[in-house]
Amino acid sequence: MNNICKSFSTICIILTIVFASFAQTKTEDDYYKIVTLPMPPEIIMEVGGLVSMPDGKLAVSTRRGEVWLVENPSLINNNPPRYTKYAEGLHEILGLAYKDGLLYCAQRGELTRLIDYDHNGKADAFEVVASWPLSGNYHEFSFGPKIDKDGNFIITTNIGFDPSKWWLARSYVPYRGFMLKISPDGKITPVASGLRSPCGIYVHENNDYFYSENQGDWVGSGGITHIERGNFVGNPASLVWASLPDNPVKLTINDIATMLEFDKNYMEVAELSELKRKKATLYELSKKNKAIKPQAITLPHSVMGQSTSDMLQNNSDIEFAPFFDNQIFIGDQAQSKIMRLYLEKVKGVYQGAAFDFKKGFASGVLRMAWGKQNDMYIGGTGRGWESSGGKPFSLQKLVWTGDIPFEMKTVKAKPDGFEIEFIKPVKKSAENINNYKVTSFTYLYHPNYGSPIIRDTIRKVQAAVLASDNKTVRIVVNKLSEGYIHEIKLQNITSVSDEPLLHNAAYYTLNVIPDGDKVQVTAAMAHAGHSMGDMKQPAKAEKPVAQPAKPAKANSSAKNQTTMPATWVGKADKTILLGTKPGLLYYDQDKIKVKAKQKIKLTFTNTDDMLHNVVIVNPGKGDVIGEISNNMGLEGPKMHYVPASADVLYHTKLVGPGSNESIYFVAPATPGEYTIVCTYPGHYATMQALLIVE
Amino acid sequence: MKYSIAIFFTLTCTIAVSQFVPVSMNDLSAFSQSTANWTVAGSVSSDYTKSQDISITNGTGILVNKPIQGKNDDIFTKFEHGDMELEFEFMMPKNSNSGIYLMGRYEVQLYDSWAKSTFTHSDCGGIYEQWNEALPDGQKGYNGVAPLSCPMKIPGTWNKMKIVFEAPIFKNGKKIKDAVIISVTLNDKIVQQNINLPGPTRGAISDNEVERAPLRIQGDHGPIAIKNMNYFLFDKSVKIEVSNVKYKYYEQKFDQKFNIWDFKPLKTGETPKIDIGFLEKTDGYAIEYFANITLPNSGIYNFELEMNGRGILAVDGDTLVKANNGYVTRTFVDKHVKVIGTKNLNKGTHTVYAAHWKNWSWLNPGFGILISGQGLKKQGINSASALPPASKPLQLEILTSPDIKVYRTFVKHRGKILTHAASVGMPTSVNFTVNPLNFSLIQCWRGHFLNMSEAWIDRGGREVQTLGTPMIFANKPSLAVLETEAQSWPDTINPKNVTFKGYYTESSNVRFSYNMEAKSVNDVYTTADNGLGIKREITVGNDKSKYYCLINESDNIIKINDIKYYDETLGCYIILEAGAKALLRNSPGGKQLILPLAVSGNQSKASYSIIW
Repeated sequence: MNNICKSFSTICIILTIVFASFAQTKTEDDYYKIVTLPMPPEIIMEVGGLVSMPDGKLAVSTRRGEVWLVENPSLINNNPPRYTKYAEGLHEILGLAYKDGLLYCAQRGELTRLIDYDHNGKADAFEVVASWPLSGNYHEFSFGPKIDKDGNFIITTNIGFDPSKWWLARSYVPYRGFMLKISPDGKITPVASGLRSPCGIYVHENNDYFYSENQGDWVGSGGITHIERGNFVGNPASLVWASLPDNPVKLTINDIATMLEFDKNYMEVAELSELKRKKATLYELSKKNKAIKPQAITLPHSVMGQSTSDMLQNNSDIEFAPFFDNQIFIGDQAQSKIMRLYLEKVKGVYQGAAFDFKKGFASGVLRMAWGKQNDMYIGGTGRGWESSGGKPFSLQKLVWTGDIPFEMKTVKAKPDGFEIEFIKPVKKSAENINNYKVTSFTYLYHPNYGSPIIRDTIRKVQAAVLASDNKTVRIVVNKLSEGYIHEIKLQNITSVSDEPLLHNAAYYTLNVIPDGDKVQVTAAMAHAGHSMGDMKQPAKAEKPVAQPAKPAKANSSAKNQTTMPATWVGKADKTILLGTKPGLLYYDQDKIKVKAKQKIKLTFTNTDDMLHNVVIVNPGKGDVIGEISNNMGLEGPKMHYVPASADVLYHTKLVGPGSNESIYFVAPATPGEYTIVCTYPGHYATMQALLIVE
Repeated sequence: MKYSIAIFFTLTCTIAVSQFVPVSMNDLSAFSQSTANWTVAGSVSSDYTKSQDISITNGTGILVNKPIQGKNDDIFTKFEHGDMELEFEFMMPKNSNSGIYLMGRYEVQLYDSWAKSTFTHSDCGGIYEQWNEALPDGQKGYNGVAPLSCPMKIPGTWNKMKIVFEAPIFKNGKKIKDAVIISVTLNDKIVQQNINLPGPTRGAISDNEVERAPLRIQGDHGPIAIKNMNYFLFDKSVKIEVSNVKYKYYEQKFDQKFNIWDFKPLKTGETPKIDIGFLEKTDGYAIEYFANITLPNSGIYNFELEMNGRGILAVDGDTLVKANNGYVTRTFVDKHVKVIGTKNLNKGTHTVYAAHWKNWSWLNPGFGILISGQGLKKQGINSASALPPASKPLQLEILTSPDIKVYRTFVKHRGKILTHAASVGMPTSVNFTVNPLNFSLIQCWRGHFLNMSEAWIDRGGREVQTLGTPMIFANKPSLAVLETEAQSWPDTINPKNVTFKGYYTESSNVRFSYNMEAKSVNDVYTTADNGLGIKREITVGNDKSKYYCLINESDNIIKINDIKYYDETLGCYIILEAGAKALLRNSPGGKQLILPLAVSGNQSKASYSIIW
């Protein structure tokens, strides 16, 4: 493997040198190619589970409760795969595992073993390993199993959604919102609670359990959490079961209310965004109660995905990504992409960095599995929760082209900053402190759906020291804070063969600052900019501790006028009420007619369970503005995903589920078909309407 | 505007006034003189295994055709009818054949079509052929219409039928419009819709067509029993006139508080009838309507709002209907709301005020006001296009297939969701659902298997529907240990004592496997009598306990003989193994039929079939 790596990298370097002068900027596709598996049109493969079998077949479970066996998924000799239906009629199978020659799946209320006793290629026995209660709520999904090092099955359970306050999750029966460990003989042991929408499970080295979470009520952003027995990981719905004898989580809702200093009847007022309470983060609460566990790695919402799904550790046995060692790939359903996590343990606490890896899958990435031919399989679904890939479902594979990308390989925490390791040697520009921008931020722990980015602060980079291997840089930042996510953005850093970074941002969740040697910052380092021959931009003046303009706080701006202008003397010419078609990424109207120069009051009510906004843009500019907003990074949430563009005429702020906002504007004087678009990432393709000015 | 405030605080709750007239079956006085095959009875039974079997007991209330030696003529009502809605219940013995001749001329077939899967015009609910002797053989019969489906119950069980019929129209003695069967409903399923009748069907009392004539029931092809027959004669030409329809249109959402008077309408206008064509958006609007209606007769009228959303209706300032669609669900099936209010009104012109508002984007707009009473068939004072669109056709259907299918889904049982239900579809078109959490058999039905739309469309995850009309059994544990035969049956099962172990499909059976207090329980289902029902065999590893199986708890279960019971409430037979003895006892929830498990070697076993 080592030799292969070396020879590949040698070839790459040579190729890069040869073509550098005229090669276009490389993209993800130059390193990893997505291949869609051919499939008969009658199969509805809404993937819920995916597992590779020892004989090379791929077993796929679907949300419609089928299990398919796919022969030759690798398309050897360009032969198409062959699909056989192994089982059907199971209850929304969102996970599949293979153990001791048999397939196991989690149905909504049951862990089931499938057996084909008569060897006709179709399961005829459906044996219950363990069963757990359900209330019958549509949102009671059960994920898994993943199998731990002792042969136990790990399951996570989703909580139900209140039928009227549909964004408010509740645990209607015991063990909803839990991670459960099920022994091979079927004994259920609750491990942890506080889970909300736990789509991904991962068993790490040393048999450590992780799960992935989606943004929602009490969850500011998605991410992964290391789960130890007795942990409470954030959403209090499951705390109603604190008194169950076998529940190791003894925390109560009252405890949370006390810590946040508000009324324990919060459930009934959860939709009141102005509820008085202490502003705190889950990390801060974890310091008050050891059972509370903050995320090991937070995936900043909309920047690093929107609905975190499966996790899969890199496979060193195959030629897929030898340069990423044993890192973890993590999928995202809404953004149809796969990201990469570098996980480290500092003083016994897991934390680490998230990077982009590969986007552009056909549907929402839900499950990933290794194939037998140096490939990764990706199963997707988008039904009910649209994904940017657009297809209702997909079965694809990802293969390495053999070229080695120029990437940050790892970001590690250091006592005074971070150490960035690159895959390839870098140029001296890596020593220029101006080529690094570090911003720390976090999210509120509160009953609302999601959270704004809070306490965002630019951390001055004081030094950047390149190690003698020319691949590792220590950056020193002026103050590190535990409990914060650190965005580390790089610019002008190239490999020695002039390749730009394929992805230039890392998001490091710093739970613990490690001990160890600090870099002695010298004056020369602090002024490294002066010595940089290849620096392209002059050093910008260091910003003071940032308190960027927050449109959320501003009551009104010209484009976001939220009170009626006094000159209207209390009357709008026309009132527009706009809503959504829940779950479908559509507004509830596709055409709204107004007259030129009419005074308009537009009230947008978010009847959905995702965040949306309303942005009115010049005719034909919906897609352009939508695309810009998709790439706003950390700026996006702060600016409500409204790009600073002359084509943006008027807009609302981000409106949370169940909330509304009214804006006041004067319809354009020029008649035409203006576009109303939701610029929240991934929404603009379908969530558009016309504002017809007559 | 004060007027509207008054409406807000008024709540009414009314039942529609029926316009139906019963046909007395206390004796035969409602009918013209007939042959001796026709009689009245107090109760009727029929053995589903015996051709043309019918037994009666003395009494009244049921009209029976019990064939006799000699002449078995048809029977005619004394009343004559033209336009008519007719409803009745009927019992059809095995292999029997009868029919309802509207105006003595147009036959809706009554037939023992039980357990059939394909249908022709001669099946129950079919519209019989017309006949032309002059045509060559094989072509003499024409224009017969098979029913869309035929959800007949087992012989011996009462079926329900409703027919809406419009008589032909004549002008100067010449027919200008054919008779029409607007609909035929069999056991709550519509089996015929809008069938034009160009002429009398075969066997008509006469080839000429008329404006009014008696109803006729066929008596010469086999026994039949009829009860609860009611008819409503209407005149399709009598209409309610609508005039001066004005509307005010608001783009305003109202939820708990309907204070429309605090807002100014966005536009106002007039329409010929109640309409929604002027809507500028599909949600978040409110409309007020002001109209006059002119009624042809004095008396009590029924008013219905049919809409998606909420609404108020007032007639002459009196609020009749205040409605909302209550529970806001998120499903792709549009929800209609129909609400009824009544008012005694004089002939002549009256004012109608209606307000309607809608806040739910996933419902399509729709609003109509329907009026019936005083000889008027229900009619809208709205344009036809204003009514909410009919529910979308449900598409994701799992049909009967050559393999046994087992589907784990949510199933709703008497309002409660069963979360771990397992439904089984047999290749023989018999289907059933078990609740593995308490062994119980929840329901069975004939026909195709399941409609998965609610589970699989959009976010899905909701209860599935059966594709045939299910017979619903009690959701009580099927198996229990009773120390005495008087001990009451447990309502629930302790989940600690019972574990569902899984299910196994073989070529012709499904075995559900359980552990009950360390004893293994096997519950095997197969098709009974080539598709007439299901057979269940339940086996427990013996520990000398007195195991019993609850077959069903129902309002009325009748013992026919030692091994044959009839569940009158559901309309199914329960057949035991020869020599078995069941216990039929009263309980607070109705009659309970309980079968002791017989010890055989190291097992206890019970077996029975359900035929429906």
